[in-house]
Amino acid sequence: MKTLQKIERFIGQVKFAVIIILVFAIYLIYGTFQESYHGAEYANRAVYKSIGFMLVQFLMFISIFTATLFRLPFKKNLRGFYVLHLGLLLLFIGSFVSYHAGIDSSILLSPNTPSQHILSQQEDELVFTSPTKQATIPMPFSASKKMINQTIGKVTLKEYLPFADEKLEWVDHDAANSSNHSSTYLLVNKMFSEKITLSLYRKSEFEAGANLGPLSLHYLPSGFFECFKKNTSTFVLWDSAKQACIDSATFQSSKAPNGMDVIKSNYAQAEEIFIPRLSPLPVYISEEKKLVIKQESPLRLLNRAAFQDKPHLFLFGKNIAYFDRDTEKWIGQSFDKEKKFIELPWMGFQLELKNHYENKYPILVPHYVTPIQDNNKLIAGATKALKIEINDKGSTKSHWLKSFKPLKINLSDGEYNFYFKSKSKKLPFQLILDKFRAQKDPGTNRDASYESFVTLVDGDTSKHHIYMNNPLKYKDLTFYQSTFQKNPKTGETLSGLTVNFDPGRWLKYLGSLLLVLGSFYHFVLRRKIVSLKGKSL
Amino acid sequence: MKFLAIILFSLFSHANSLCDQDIDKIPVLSQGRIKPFSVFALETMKFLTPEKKPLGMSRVKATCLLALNVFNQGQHLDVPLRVEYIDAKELLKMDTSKTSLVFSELEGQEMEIRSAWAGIKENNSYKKELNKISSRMNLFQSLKNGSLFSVIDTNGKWFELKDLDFETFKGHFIENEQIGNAHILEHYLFMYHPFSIAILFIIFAIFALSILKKPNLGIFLSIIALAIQVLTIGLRVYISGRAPITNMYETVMFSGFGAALIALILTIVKKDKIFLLAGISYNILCLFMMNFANNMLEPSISPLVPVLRDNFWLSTHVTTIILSYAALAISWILANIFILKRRLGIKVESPLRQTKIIYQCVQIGVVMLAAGIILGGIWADYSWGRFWGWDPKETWSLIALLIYMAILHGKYSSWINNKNFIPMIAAAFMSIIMAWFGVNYILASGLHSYGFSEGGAIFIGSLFLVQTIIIVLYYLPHKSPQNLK
Repeated sequence: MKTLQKIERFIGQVKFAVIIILVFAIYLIYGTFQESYHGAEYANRAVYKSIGFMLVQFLMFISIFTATLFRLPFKKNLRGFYVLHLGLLLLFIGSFVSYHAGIDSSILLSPNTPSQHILSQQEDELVFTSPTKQATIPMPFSASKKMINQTIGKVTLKEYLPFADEKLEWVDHDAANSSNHSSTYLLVNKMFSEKITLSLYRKSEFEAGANLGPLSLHYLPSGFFECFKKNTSTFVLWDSAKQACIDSATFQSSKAPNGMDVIKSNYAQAEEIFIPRLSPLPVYISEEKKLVIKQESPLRLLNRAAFQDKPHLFLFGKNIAYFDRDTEKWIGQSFDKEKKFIELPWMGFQLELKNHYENKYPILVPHYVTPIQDNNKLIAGATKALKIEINDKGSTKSHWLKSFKPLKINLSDGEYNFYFKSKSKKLPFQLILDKFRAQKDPGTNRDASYESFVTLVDGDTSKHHIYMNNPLKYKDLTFYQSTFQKNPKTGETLSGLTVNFDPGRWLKYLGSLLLVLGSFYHFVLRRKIVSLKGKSL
Repeated sequence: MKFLAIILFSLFSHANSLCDQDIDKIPVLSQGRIKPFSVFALETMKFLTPEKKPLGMSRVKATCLLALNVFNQGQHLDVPLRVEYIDAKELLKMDTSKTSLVFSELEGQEMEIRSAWAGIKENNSYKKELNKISSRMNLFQSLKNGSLFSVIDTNGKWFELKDLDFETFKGHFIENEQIGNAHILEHYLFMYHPFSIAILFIIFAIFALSILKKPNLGIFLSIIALAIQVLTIGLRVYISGRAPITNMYETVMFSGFGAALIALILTIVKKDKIFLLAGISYNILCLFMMNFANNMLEPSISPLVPVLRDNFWLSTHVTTIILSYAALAISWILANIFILKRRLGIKVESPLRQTKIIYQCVQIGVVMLAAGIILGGIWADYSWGRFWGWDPKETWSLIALLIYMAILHGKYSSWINNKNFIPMIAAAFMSIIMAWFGVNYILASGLHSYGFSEGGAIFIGSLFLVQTIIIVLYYLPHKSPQNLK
């Protein structure tokens, strides 16, 4: 009993208050630096919403609470003290209520479309559908990687990475041939250096082409190099089934009356007609006298003239080809043991072949990293990832679900789909965006204001005007104008509102009022200054 | 070369007689605000060139001559544009002792600048400087092609120069009082520096208070300095139409004024001139910063971001916070005065009395800081729907409050005696500096952005260093303990 009393007494003491205030302050300093370096989301997960931080706040609450209790029964000269500390306690309780029962979400409104779902700004969920099941699984709210180990039928959820970067790895495949290869190139000049990985393998996430500013890269099966290094015709024709380049002697070009090129080929005893402006595939005229493209043909025709004006680089694994504007010729070059670098004719660029495989393909594997923020953008750790293990017909395979790219897997019993989404809630009413208006400062590109005109449908309809510092309040929820974004496809402007429910609001307001009044009384009105009775040094 | 330039200049000068006239007060619309041509020229040329008299002429004339290019009038002035970062100078093969390079030479190296910019992965000072060089070149060109500012016609419509012909332009480029007189007052505010006069009066007031020991004269001079500041700040409020606390320059201005005002009141109420001495010392520090730290504190008036466009909350919340900084600044100056006096062996008040004096300022500051933080919470709740969001600015103001609270509680518990209270109050103000400047200059761009090497961060770092040295001095053994008892 005695020790308990001692502990109580210590907690109620001012010295404990000093310690806990300092710990709280240091924790906060740490938090602001974490935020600056790693971004707001990481700081929230690692500091402000962590258990340690909650504990410090709880101890602070206990310290204030016991300190107040110890100064009872009521003393007149402590009136300010009571009001001030009661205010603080109410603030703590109010914040706790808000944290537990409050809603901090957002809603994106498209013009003239009813919206009803609000999205949590921090919590993510996994949505999983299989032929027999559908499930929504909350993802852990942590700053570091977490093992989930949850099995649903054939699917086991393994580790969840809230912040990850992808690393390139090479994986074996058993379809090695000359049209399934993948390569990594390094493109460098004095100012610029970039690694580019390209792949022809169907399952790879990497593409067979890239644009680097004005330079376009095209990655093609190695067999087609033969077509490109010749200068006999601007047209090249190849057979994608046989991986072979077709001799230009087997086709002739002519001009149609409307000026379009028409190419007739006679390859493998079959006559084909190509109109390169229309399609690289052959065409024929149907019985209804319509031009039809032969989708299933293995033949491809390309007009190289279209690649002569701007910088285009054709890559074939160990060989490359480009059009040299000085000599007006197509030039083919090859990497070999002596030739590690190939000089390109543009801006002093050099190309190096770093990796080339026919029996492997590149994949991006997520690895946990602590995120890094630069100018309000994450430059590392911007991906979320979840490892999913699937046991089908006795064999286990693992897959990565990454950020907001859905994952689709075909198993023996049908299609399995996985994707992340923000945790959402359905409102009991609908909002429709009638109009969105963004005003600029005159003569500049700076936003002066943004405003949404919305219709609220809840049995009746009502019209509302939401703008900065003028939210819509309805059924305990408050809608604030926060952002807007343009839909790149439709060009429509979507309006982003923050949606808020704060049951602790009035406690916090009351607490604030008491805190200010109490401290004003305590520090300013009270004449006697208690602790300044003069202590000699 | 120079001779030839002078001849050419005198030949052209007839055609450009427009630019020799009094065009200072003509209203123009630029960057979202109506301002006098003189201020537009000042802001434009300050951004473009380090030269106070670009190519030997006034900023107004140079700006005017460049603007007339769009009508094939004026002159193709090859203004030297600012190049400040050492790596940028090396890239442009400049003499590293120079701070500018003429536009034509920069234009010739535009590709180098762009590709160097593209080649830097981190958003460091060098990259930012290259960015700035590009934007200076763009601004220079838009001045020349008539899209940087607009003039108003008699019906109140604004036109960019590129949409006018020279004769119509001349008709519109005249003084116009139909749109009010704010722009005319702005001209006087920026061309005559009323704050410099306030500085003079404060210097005399400090002299009167500390050397002449004539408190009434000191109070009188301080009141004049305050009156000049009230008028200047009032003018700024009238011109901008909002509370004078919307950017760093204005908060420094307002806190200096506020500190002098609070100190004056304390001096009159408590009948102790030490408050006034500390208050005006802080005021003069702020005025010096406003005059000489233009890289960090931008004096020009610019439009506000949408969320700040609420005069009620802006004036209540920010004013409370800034006044609390002002009161705490007085305590900071007092603490440092006491430390230095003790160190220098000057006869001082007893530590108890010193503590009392400081404590009076700290209480005002702490109450206002708490009130200001709460007002901020209420504004945030009202505008964004959250009372508190652990945003670095609000977190740091809370940290500052917590640090002062820890000291006050430590004082109640007798952990902190009067001797240690003084340096602690001096050190605690560093948390205010962090909340005020550090969040914007160090934390805001992200620690990763190498923000440390820029003006604001260097200022904060040096201030921390000086404060640390002063506190260490306090604790080092020293000679004159007799007047401490």
